[in-house]
Amino acid sequence: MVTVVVSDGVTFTMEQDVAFQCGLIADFAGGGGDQEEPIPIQAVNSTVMRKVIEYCEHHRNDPPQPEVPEGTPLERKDRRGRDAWDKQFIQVEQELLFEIILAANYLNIKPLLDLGCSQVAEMMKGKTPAEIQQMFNIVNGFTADEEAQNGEGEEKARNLNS
Amino acid sequence: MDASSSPSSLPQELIGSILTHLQEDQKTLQACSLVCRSWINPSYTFYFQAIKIRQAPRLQEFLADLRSGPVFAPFIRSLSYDGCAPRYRLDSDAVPYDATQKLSPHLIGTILSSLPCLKTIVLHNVILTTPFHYDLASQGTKFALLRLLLWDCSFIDPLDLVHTLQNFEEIGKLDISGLTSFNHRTAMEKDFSIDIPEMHRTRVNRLFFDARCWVSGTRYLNFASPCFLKDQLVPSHLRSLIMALSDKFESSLIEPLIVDDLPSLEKFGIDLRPRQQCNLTLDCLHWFERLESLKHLALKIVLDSDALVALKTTWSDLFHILNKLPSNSRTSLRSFKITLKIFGSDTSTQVLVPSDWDQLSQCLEMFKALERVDFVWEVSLFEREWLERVSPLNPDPYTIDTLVWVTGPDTISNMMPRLHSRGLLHFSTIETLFW
Repeated sequence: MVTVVVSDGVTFTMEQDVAFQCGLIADFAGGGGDQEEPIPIQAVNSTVMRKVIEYCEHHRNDPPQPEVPEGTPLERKDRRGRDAWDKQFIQVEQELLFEIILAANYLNIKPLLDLGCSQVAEMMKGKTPAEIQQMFNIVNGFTADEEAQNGEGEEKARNLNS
Repeated sequence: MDASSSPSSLPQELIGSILTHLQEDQKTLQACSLVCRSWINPSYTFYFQAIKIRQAPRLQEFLADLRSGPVFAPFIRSLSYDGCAPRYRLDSDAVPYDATQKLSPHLIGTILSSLPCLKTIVLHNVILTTPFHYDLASQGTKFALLRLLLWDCSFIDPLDLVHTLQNFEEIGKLDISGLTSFNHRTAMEKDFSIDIPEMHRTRVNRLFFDARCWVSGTRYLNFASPCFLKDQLVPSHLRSLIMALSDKFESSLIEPLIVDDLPSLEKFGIDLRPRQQCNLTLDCLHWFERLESLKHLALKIVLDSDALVALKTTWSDLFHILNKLPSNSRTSLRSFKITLKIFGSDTSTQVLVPSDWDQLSQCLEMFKALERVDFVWEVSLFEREWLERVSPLNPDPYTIDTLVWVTGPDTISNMMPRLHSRGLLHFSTIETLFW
């Protein structure tokens, strides 16, 4: 068993095959037997950790994903794909979604990171810049010059990729 | 929503991870590049990563843009140019020629020096003008191309191809395929400036061959599968090409065009590419009789789904080859490698059965000095549905899916127990899945 303690002091105990899906925990534990001391996970709170553990428990029996070379088109990378459970799992509030992405990145859980990122990408598909800004509460911060450059870049981009 | 719950709070690498999922969606990527300053670079990384240009006027526009140092230049990793040439007509001797299709080394130099992150160049339907012995390296730019693909390109002379390759010595992968042609004709005489012996000039009138040439960072060269029009082949040209390349590589697997050198070759390889319902015609079978110093033999059988029915015949050809090897090789051959490369989605075809393996095993027993036998399966499947239908539990043990999913090192070892017991067998599987 592996025990972790998260930023708000909550302790979680997991079986090794669940815990070791987190690259960070596997590294921490050194691949050895039971950990006596709880592993501190300061960058993740208990709400997010619960979701992470839920994901890892569901995928505990998945075969390891092969290494995919850099530059492989996305449709060839995603061999497992998002199953119905994954789709349901990642339907969360925006705030929690980004916290899951950050946690997956910190804990080094590649499939969960991909799942979170693909969900954000799905939310942006077909949206205009203004709609994306509004959806995610982003201030563009472009200067007037940059706006003009963007216009030129857009024109070139349209030409190049038309 | 507080700041920590928005994508703008994510590190750049994670913005990139999100946009990875949009790399096929140009419209959204373009929108993302206008969302905020920190999204410009990750958006451009995908938006401009692969540029495809068709026809000369668009190329000229692109080159004009490059001269102004555009913001997108550092993001382009792959550039494809299709000159959209009029196609050769195999029923005619006329060589179509259009000056606008020509791509000079100078233009390529401009492209390379303006796009610092360019890793792949794909040229399609382009006439690479002679001379191509333009010294790109002298431009002061280091060209670390990962891939150079020349499809249906034209060279005036095989030596041009040699010179082209010399410009890209550091290239990771080179693929020359399609209808690569070497043309020499009076109308293009002015393009010549390299000193080609008169003999070559007169003999190269029109020469086609389907060529594939891979050069990898492992210093491995495979020049294989020339399906040339024999009467038009000028062996000395190909010989000079191969020799020029061979100098650079430790290992050369060369289609046996250099007949004179066969008795001294230690490494020899050939691709066997059967056609549908058609025996592999081994015109070169007698070449194997001359491989007197052979130490390493590599045979590759390449099959698409239409040609799977010919696998049995090809397998027999393989036994012919092994039997044709001279008696000297019985004691000289150290390694044997067979690669079976399969494309396609035909699940119904019967393939190799245990008796085939027995026969191969017996053939290999003849070679007393054999230290290593490699089997490599490269399987490319095109349809996800096909893949999903395939099960390791398929009741028919000898269909192609079984070969993919069931036949593994243990199975092969069981089929070839004597080789296995001598510790000779090595097995690897490469599954390439396309859909």
